[in-house]
Amino acid sequence: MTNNSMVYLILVAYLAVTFLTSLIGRKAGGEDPESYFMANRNLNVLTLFFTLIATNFSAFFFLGFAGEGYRIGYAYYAMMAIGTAFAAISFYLIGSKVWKLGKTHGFITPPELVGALSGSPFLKYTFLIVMIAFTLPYLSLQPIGAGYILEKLTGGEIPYFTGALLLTIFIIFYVFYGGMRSVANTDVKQGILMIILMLAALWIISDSLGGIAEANRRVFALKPALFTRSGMENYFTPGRWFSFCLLWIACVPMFPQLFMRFFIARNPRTFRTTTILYAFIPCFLFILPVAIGVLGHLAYPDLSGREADQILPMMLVKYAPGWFAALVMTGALAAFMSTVDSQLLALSTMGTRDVYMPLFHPGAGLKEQVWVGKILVVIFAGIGLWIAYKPFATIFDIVRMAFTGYAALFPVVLALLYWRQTNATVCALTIIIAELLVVGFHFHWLPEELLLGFEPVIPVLLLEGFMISIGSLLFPRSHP
Amino acid sequence: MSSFLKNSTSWVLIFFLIFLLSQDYISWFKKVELGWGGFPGWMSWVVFLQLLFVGAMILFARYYWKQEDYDE
Repeated sequence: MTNNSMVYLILVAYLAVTFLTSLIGRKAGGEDPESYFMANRNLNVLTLFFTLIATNFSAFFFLGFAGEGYRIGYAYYAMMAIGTAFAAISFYLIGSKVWKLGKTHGFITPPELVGALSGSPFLKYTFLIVMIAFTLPYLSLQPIGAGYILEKLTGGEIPYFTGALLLTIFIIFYVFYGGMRSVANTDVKQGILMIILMLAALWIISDSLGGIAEANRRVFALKPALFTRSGMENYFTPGRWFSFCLLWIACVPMFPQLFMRFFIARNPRTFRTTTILYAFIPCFLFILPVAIGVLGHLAYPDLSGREADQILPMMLVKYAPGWFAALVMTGALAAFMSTVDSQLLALSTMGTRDVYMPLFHPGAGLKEQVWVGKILVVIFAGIGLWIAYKPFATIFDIVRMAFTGYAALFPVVLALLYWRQTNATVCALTIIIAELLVVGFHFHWLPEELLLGFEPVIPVLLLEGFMISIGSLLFPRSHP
Repeated sequence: MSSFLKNSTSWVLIFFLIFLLSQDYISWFKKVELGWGGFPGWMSWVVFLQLLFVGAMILFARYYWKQEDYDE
C-alpha cells in the first residue's frame, strides 16, 4: 500500500467514526432548541471537560503552538500554560453565575443573557455583533489548519484550499445533522485522540533525533535563545508577559462557543470539577506542540513568517512513519473540527435566537428555529472558508487580534453580573470604543508607543474599567 | 483554617499571590541551564506554579465555591 493510500484510509476511517458518533448524538437528542442547541443542559463532567478543551484547543493549539515554539521557544509554553490555567478563575467569576442564570431563565445565547441583565437591546446587539465579528477570523483558522495539514500529508495531492473546503463540508454535515449533543459527543473522542496522538508525536520525533534530552541539547547548542525565559529576540518583555497572562483570563470565557458551554453543565458540582481539570490540563498538554516546534530547528533552521505554522506536519512527514504521520494529522484535524463545529453551532444559535427570531419571525416554532440554525451553519461556514482562501496573517497574529476583541467584552459581562447599577448604554459605548482601539492597534493605525510596552489588551481593559465605573456611578441604572 | 478558606478576601489574596509569582521577572536575567529532559531549568518553576494553582483551585472549589450552591 502506498503512503498516500494509507493516509486516505486513515482519514476516511476517522471521518466515518466521527459521523457515527454524531448519529448517536442525534438519537439521544430531540428536535427542539433545548436539545439541539443546549444538549438539554445535562452534560456530565467527562463530556463537559472534553467538549471544553476540544472546543478551546484548536488549529491554534496544533499548528499555532508549534509555530510559536519554533519562532519564540519554550517561553511560549510558559505563557500559554500559565495564562490558560488562570482562565479557571474567570470560569468561576463568569461561568458559575451564567450557569445559574441559564438554568433559572432558560437562556441559550450570551447576547440573550446580556440583553436580559441590562434591559438594553442596544447593548445586546453591540455584544452580538462583536462576538460574531471576532469569531469569524478565529473560525477561519480551522479550515486554514486543515488545508495546511492535508496538503502536507498528501504531498500536495490535496491542495490547500481543496483540503479546507472538504473538511468544512464534512463538519457542516454533522453539525447540521446532530446539534450540541453530537458536537459534545464527538468532542470527547476528538479530545482523547488529540491528547494521545500529540504525546506519541513528540515521542516519535524526539526518538528519531536521539531522544528528547539529546535533541534539546542539540537545539540549545544551535540556538540558545529558544531556551530563555524571554524567548527568541526577547519576545516576552515583562510588559508583554503580563499582558498575555491577563489576555487569557479575559478572553477565554468570552468565546461564544465556550460561553454557551457554561449553560450546559448538569449541576454546579459538574462545573466545578470541570474547571479544576481545565486548570490542570495545559500544564502537560501544551509542552507537546511547543517542543516539536523547538526541535524543528534541527531539521528546518530557516523558516520564516507563515512557513513556521507548518512545522508540525513538516516534522511528522520527515521523522515519523507515513501511517503514523497520517494518524497524528488526523488528530490535528480532530482538533480543528471540534473547534469549528462548536463555533458554527454557537454562531448559528446566536443568529437564530438573537437575530432571526426577534427581528424577522418572533413567533417561530421550535422546528423552525432548528432549521434556521442549520441554514446559518452553512452560511457562517462559507464565510470562514472565504477568509481562509487567502489568510491575512500568521495563525498567532489572527488569534491575537480575535482574542483581544473577545477580551474587550469581559469587563462588561463582569459588571452586569456583579454590579446592579451598571449602565447599559455606557457599556455599549465602551465596547464600541474598545473594539475600535483593538482594530486600530492591530492594523497599526494607532502608534505602538501608546501601548507603553504592553499588548493592546491592557489599555483596552483599563479604559473599559474606567469608563464603566465612572459612567455607571454618574448615571446609575434605575431598577423598577 | 476552615474559616480562612471560606473567606473571599483570603482567596483574592491567594490567587493574587500566585499571579504575582507567575510574573517571575528575575528569571528573565538568569543564565539558562538545562534540566530534566534537556528542557530549560526554569520550566520546573512554571510547572510547580501551575500545580500550586490547581491545588488552590481544588481547595477553593471545596471550601468557598461550594458554599454558593445554596445561595439565591
